[in-house]
Formats: sequence, structure tokens, C-alpha cells
Amino acid sequence: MNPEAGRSYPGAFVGIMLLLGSIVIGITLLGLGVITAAELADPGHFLAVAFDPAVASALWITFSAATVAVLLLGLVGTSLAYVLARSRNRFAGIAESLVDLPLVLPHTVAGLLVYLIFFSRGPIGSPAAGIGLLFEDAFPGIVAAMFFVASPFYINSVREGFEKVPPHLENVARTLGASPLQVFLHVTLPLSTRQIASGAALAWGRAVGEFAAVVIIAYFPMVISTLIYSRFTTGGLAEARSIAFVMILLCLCGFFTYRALIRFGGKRHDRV
Amino acid sequence: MIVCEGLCMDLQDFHLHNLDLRVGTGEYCCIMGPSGAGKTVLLECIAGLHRPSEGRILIRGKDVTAMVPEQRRISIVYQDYSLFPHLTGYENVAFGLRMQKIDPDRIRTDVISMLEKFRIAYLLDRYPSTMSGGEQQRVALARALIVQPEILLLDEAFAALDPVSRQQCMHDLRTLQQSRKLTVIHVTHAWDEAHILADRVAVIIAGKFVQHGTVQEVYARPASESVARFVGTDNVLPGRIVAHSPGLSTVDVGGIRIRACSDAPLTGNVIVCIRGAAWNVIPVPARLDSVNLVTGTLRERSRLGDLERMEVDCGTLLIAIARSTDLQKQNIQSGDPITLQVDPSDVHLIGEDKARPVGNSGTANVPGYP
Repeated sequence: MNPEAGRSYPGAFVGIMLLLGSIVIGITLLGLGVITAAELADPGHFLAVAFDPAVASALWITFSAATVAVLLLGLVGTSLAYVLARSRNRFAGIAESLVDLPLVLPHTVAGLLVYLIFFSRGPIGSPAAGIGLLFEDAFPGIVAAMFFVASPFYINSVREGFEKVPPHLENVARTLGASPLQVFLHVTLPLSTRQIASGAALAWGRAVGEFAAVVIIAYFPMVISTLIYSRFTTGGLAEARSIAFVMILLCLCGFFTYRALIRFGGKRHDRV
Repeated sequence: MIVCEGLCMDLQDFHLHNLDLRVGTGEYCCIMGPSGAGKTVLLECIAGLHRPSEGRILIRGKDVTAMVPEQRRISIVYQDYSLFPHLTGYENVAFGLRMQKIDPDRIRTDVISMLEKFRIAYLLDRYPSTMSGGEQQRVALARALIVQPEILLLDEAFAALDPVSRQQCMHDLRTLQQSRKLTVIHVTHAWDEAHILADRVAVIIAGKFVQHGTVQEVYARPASESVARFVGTDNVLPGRIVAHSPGLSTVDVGGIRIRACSDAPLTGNVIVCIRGAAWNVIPVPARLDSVNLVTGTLRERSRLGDLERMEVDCGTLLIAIARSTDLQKQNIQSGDPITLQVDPSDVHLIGEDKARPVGNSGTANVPGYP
């Protein structure tokens, strides 16, 4: 029996597409290879940097601020995503454009917008300062910047998830005695879990990687991007590269774990 | 039981215009109409899923127009059954009772009993994606009925079933509806469903009700040309009244004289409706005293199971349907001359306004009719 039986013929077209597409993967792999080779050449230096308290602190601030930003997005972004998914008027179109705005703005501009809103004389920063909540050079400022730049990734993904839930399911649930809140909690939300998780992961990744918007409102306490930039300008390439390698390892571990969880937990939602 | 008065509604491409509908307790009403006529929107209005822009809905005399769907005690089953894909058969059926915060022990008892009634207890732990269309339909019906609705709305609920499951489901539903005296409003395209299930039919075209009545009435005496075409009348032909005697009109249809039983004296142009199966193929030589004898040439034959659809050119193209065996006995082939005859009571005339039904008055004592 031919072992190739049942396989499709790749053909020249698919081959060309594969070649072109592999450039994207190739560049990433090349970068990872270069940095890994450099770090493995001097493991002592890498370990010293990896266990540097400043690096650990920056990692903790980065990951915790990104997590808080995503949790806040889960609270307010989910509501907006639902409204956008179920609205068909022109105001929804305007709102969608506003949601997408951080995607097209240069990150420095996004940072300036955040700064103008949250600095001590800004429309939110000023009253917040009155109750002791400061954003400039403070953890809440980092969260605000991350929230702003990550919001379109979360909201768009969740909106697509809600749009995939057929309105008929919600209609049936209403006629069976469910209130709108019950319908949302028992039908719409469970059927959108995969897109919510996917949006949260994308938003978290975006938040972790943010530099320009964060640095404008809060250079300190340093997030990992700020620390890498700072070490690059003061300590040189080797120091910045080792911190970057730590970050790469942690992010790869995080995303592989996340994908495994999604594959496991999302199986039942493939029935939708 | 349920009354819709002057319902108006605009929803994207669907528009309902001043709809009136009355369905009695325990009655089975089919709403029929072509795609895009607004049937589903009407059902969803009745269920409370859309608020009409004008008009009101009354259930047992109480105005429920502003009432939210969860309080109306109206269940709906869609064509795709809309089972919750993340819930098992049991959880789907239990959903309504859970939302109403019924005691869990009672939910279990009721759901098991309902599943057994629908002969689907084996679907307890199965997800909808693993069920056949017929099984999904039964789960959807069980889920709709377990909450004890006063009214059941069905939106083409049998359309996606295979013929065997469909017959079985229709039979089961009719039995259940009659035993429970359940009021059902059923949107469908299929006349066979209406024949089997419906006490009454309402035809909706372009957001307006154009005819109410029993299935037989609407089928045999369409009120307008559009209804005639919708119900599948094979011959919908323009004609002109040339003579009228009590109970009988003579119509000129492209040079052919056809007599029709009609109560109302008509004048001028009319639409002549004749079902293909109403034509009889007459062996030659035909009886000369027969009315509505039409001679033409058989142009085309096509099989419809045991029947054959014939296109007969008599100056005007007529569609006739006959048993294949009858044609074989008479050895009629394409291109041969053929003589057809139709009973005047099977000829239905629609006045020029195309809205006023001009009904047949039966076959008794019609002069000239053998």
C-alpha cells in the first residue's frame, strides 16, 4: 500500500506559499537562535542577570500590571464587546472605530493621551489624586497605559466571540424564562469562553510588551521593557540581551501553557 | 386565546403591515408565506422578542405587548432547533426549569419524565452535536414544552428533517397538541405539513396577511394571484368573462372557453386558477356534451413519481398532471394530440382586483354539467 495514499498533492502553488510564509517564521527563529547562542556562550553572565533583583522586580511589576489591566478589561471590555456585538446602528460603527484607535496610534501618542488623562491635573488624574491615587511614576499609571493599548485586542476578540453566538439561542433562552442577565451568564458567556481567553491572552501579551506608552506616564517603577532599554543605553548590548532572553523564556513558557489550557478547556466549545 | 391587532413592525429588511390574527385555545394555526414575507419576525413579535411599532398582542384578553418574553409563557422552536451546544440533552431540557429556580429534585423528575415521553431518555448525557436532526428536534420540543407554555411557536421546525423523521415528528406533535389542547402557531412553507397539522391557515405575503381559512379553502380557492402562485396552482392564467349565468361564468382564456362555478357575477378581466391534477385526460373520441373540453398538443412530459406533469399547447400553455398508467393506457406520446377536461367546480376565478376571492359554489345543479 502506498504510504502517501490519502495525502493531498502539495503542488507548486502551495510550495511557493509555504516558501514565502516561512520567511516570517524564519526571521523569528533566526532572532531566537542568535540570542540563544549568545546567551549559551556565557551562561554565568546570563544567570547573574536572571537572578538580579532589579530584573525580578521589573518582571513582577510588568506581569502584575498586565494582569490587573486585563482583569479591568474583562470587567468593562466584556460589556462593551457585548453591546458592539449586538448593535447594528451607526453609533456602534463609531464606537468600533474608537476601540480600534490605539491600534493605529503611534505608541508615544497613546502614551501622551494616557498621560493627559491621568496626570495629576488631568480629568481623571486630578480627582484620583484627591483620594490618594497617583498615576505618574506609579503602578496605576503603568496599568492605565497597558489598559489603553491592550483594549482593542481584548474587545475585538470578545466581540467576535459574542457575534458567533446565534441570537436564536438567546431568544430561546428568553422564552424559556431566562432574564437577559441569565441568558448572558448561562448561554452567551459560556459559548464565548474561547474568544474571551484568546482576547485576554493577546491583550496580556500586548500589555507586557508595551514600552513607549508606559514610559511616558511611569518611567518608574520600571517595567521590563523600560529596564531593557535603560540597561541597553547604560550597560550595553550584553546586559540588555540577557534580560531580553529571560523575558523570552518566560513568555514562551507562559504562552505554551496557555495554548495547552485552551486546547483542553476549549474542546467542548468546538460544538458551537 | 391569542389576538394580534394591527401589528406593524420594521426590522431591517422585514416589514409587517397592520397584521390581525386570532388563534383560539387549542387551535393549530399555520402561517404560510414565501421566504422574506415576515413570518419569523411575526412569531418573534408574538414571543416578545421584538416590540411592534404599532398594534397590540393579547393573550386571554390581557394586553402583553409590553411584557418581556420570559413572562409570556410562550415557547419557540426554530428550524435549526437552537439547542444549547454546550449543554447535554438533559441540561437542555432542564434549562427553563433551572432558570425558574425550580427545586432540583423536581427538575430531575420532570426532565426524565419528559425525555421518556419523547422516547429520548438515551440522549440524557449526549451533546447536541452528536444527535441526529430528529433527535435534536425532539429535545427542542421537550425543552419547549417542559415549561408548560400556553402557546407553542414553531418556526419551520420540521424543514430540516428527513422524510421519515418528519412524518413521525408531525404525528407525535399532533397527538401531543390535541391531548394537551395546546395552542400552536406554526410557520411553514410546506403544504403537506399544513394539511396534516393545521386547523387553520393564514397566508402572509410581503408582511401582510392576504388570506385566512382552512387549509382546503386556501388551497382550493386562493384569494389572489400571489396566493395562487404561492400555493402552487399550476395554471394561473389571465382571462376575460364573456358570459354569466346563475352560478356559472364562462371565461375566455387565450381563445379557449372555460366554464367556472362562481357565486358572484363577474365582469371584465379575471385570473383563472386550475390545479394541474384537476384536468382529466379524455380518451378520443370525447363526449361531445362534456363542458370544458380542451384539445391541444402534448409538448412535454416529466415524471413526478407515479404521476406525470404535462405541458399541453392549446394556444395557451396548460399544465396538467395525470397518472402515468392512464397515459400509458391511452398511448399518448409527446407531440400527440390530447384532449383534457376540467370540472367547472375545479376552476377558480379571482376578480380583477386580485384580492377578492370569488369562490366556487360546489358542483350541484350546474346547467350543462353532465
